[in-house]
Amino acid sequence: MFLNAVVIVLQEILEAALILSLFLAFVRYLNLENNDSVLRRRIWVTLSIIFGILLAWTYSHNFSRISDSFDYVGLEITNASIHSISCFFLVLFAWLLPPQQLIFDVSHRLLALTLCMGIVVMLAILREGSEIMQLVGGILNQGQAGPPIFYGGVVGAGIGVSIGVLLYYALTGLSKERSLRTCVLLLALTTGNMAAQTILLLNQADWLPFTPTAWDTGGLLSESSVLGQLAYALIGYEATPSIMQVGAYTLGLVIVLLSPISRLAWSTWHGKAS
Amino acid sequence: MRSIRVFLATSIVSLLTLFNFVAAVQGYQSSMREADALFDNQMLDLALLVSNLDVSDERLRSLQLGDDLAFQVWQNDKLLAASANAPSVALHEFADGYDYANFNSYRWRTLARFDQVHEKWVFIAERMDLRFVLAENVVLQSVGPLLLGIPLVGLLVWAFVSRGLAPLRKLSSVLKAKPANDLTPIDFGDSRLELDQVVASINGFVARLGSAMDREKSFSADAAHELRTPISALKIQLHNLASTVDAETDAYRELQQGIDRMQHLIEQLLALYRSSAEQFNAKARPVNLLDIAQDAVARLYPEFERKNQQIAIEGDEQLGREIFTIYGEPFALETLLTNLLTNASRYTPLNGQIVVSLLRHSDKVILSVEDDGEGIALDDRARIFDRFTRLSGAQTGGVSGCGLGLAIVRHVADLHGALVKVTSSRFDTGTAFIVEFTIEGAVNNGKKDE
Repeated sequence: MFLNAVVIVLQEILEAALILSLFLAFVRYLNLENNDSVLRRRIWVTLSIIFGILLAWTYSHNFSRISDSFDYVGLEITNASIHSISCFFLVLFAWLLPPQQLIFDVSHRLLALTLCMGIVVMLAILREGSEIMQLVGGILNQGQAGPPIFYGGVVGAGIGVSIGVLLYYALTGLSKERSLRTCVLLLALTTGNMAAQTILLLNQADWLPFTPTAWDTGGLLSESSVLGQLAYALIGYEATPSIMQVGAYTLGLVIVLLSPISRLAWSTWHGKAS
Repeated sequence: MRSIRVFLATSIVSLLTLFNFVAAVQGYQSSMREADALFDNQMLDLALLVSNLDVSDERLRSLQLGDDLAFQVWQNDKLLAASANAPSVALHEFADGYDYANFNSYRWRTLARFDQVHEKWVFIAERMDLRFVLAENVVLQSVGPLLLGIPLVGLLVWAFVSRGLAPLRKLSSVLKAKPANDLTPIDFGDSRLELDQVVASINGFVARLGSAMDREKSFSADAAHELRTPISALKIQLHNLASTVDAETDAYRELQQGIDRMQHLIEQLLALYRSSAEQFNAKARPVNLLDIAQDAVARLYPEFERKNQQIAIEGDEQLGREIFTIYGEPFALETLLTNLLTNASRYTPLNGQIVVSLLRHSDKVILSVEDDGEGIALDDRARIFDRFTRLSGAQTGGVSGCGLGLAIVRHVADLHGALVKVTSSRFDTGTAFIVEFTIEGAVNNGKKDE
């Protein structure tokens, strides 16, 4: 029970923490902090977390109703929708980030960028929060197994939040050029991960046909191992992805890597940017 | 603004949490394996005990052991004895060793042992779920304190990091409290290995800066002062020359303009010196900006009249003139207004309009000088306050200045803790220079520097 709770909570918290750390690092590097806007005081983070928790609470309280909809594949369809909306706003964020000479003056796009980040963070909390709330509900109904699940949840959350904090400091501790490249790469991987998960959920709902497995790396890195879990949260690792999932992952990755911010990240920071 | 304290505390607590919790998970896994081996050994002991029991005793035929344990004793495919909760069939295959079995709706850990002395098989079964819960509860006893300890560790880390950074905070407050013009060395009593070099470097830098500023000030003041005499002599000679040569020739006019420009430049250099922090401290007092504005307009009126420009002063006096009073240095403020008005007149064409307005907004007095001249291009607005910056002829209508006027305006504004902005004027074309004086800021600045 303890270990199961650790794995579930760690996976959920890690995904949300990764997205939040990534955006906070972006805000820092794009000098948005110095702008006299909502971004400066990070109100958008607080608001997205609050709205995310409220939506997660509503979602977890309507689990059975949602599950029964769409011929009993309501959960899959809802989750696929959440993933695809997140994917859309991640791509929009990457394309809204200004090209080269405008990188230090993003004031005219602040509202749109803030909205993109806020929506993605809110949806991440909705997704992961609702699953954690299910677990908490489980603890309250478990009786004797409650304390181990509680301890497991706390340990999983502790590890996830710590990795998120350390990732943020690692991203902001690098040189500007390297950190921007890493942020863009992580943004691209997160987008690819979301796209692949959307396909998987639609496969499970039978809304998309199953395609053959592209490869099997279960022998090299098991999905259930701690490293496998970490790889899943960070880069969306799956040991046996289908061809369609690989296609969606690659598409998400490429669209973000083709964005202006990516071209900026790979050009010389001071050479072309200023 | 990033805080070193927050960075150190959160990163240390995160690292501690990460390593402790990962260690807790690893510890849990290995402890559970140990507990499993312990329970298996207990089953073996129980099997030895059961094999030595007298199976002819009727009470052993259906002994009530409890929910978590079951046993069977077999001999030649015949069940000799069993606990009441054991199944009627063999719960383990007839082979030595451990295995798993499902019966009574539960999963069980099973052990088979052949007793060679009595030639009978002893089967022991233990319920997996209860055994797991028991083991987990024991193991988690050691994880609990670790979880409770993290908040305590967090508080301690915060306290120690704060304590460690206290000398840095002290140095920061000493530097913050130091007046802008105080170039004396820092007296930082709290000696620390890491900070001593910083303090020594700052003191060295401040000393070098002080002597450089002294040299610059004395050079500017002396040079300007010494140049005044020859300029005055030149002007007298020029005046005398007018009686012997034709004053209407281009050569004469250019000579006169050149001497005027040189005189203006020297006056501006002297004004820059006079508006220094030391002068501010010595002469700062409550000053009415409306009075200063009216005086400046009256003084420069011939200039406006010469170009037939309309000049107006707007100031809502209904709440009394004292609402425009700030704490400042009168001569410096007069220079600021004179420079703004001279600029406005110079770059506004004939018959143009100039408006000086004063506005009281909460704790601010906002002074603006607007004209309907050519205006200043957006790209140039940021650099016009730099020393010796002159805009292109197209924007200035061919008028050239010495490039110090607006530098002096900003310098005076800085001394008063005021903010200078340049924007478009209320007219279709032209520029507005807006100076926002904070009454409180100016008073504090003055008091601080006293």
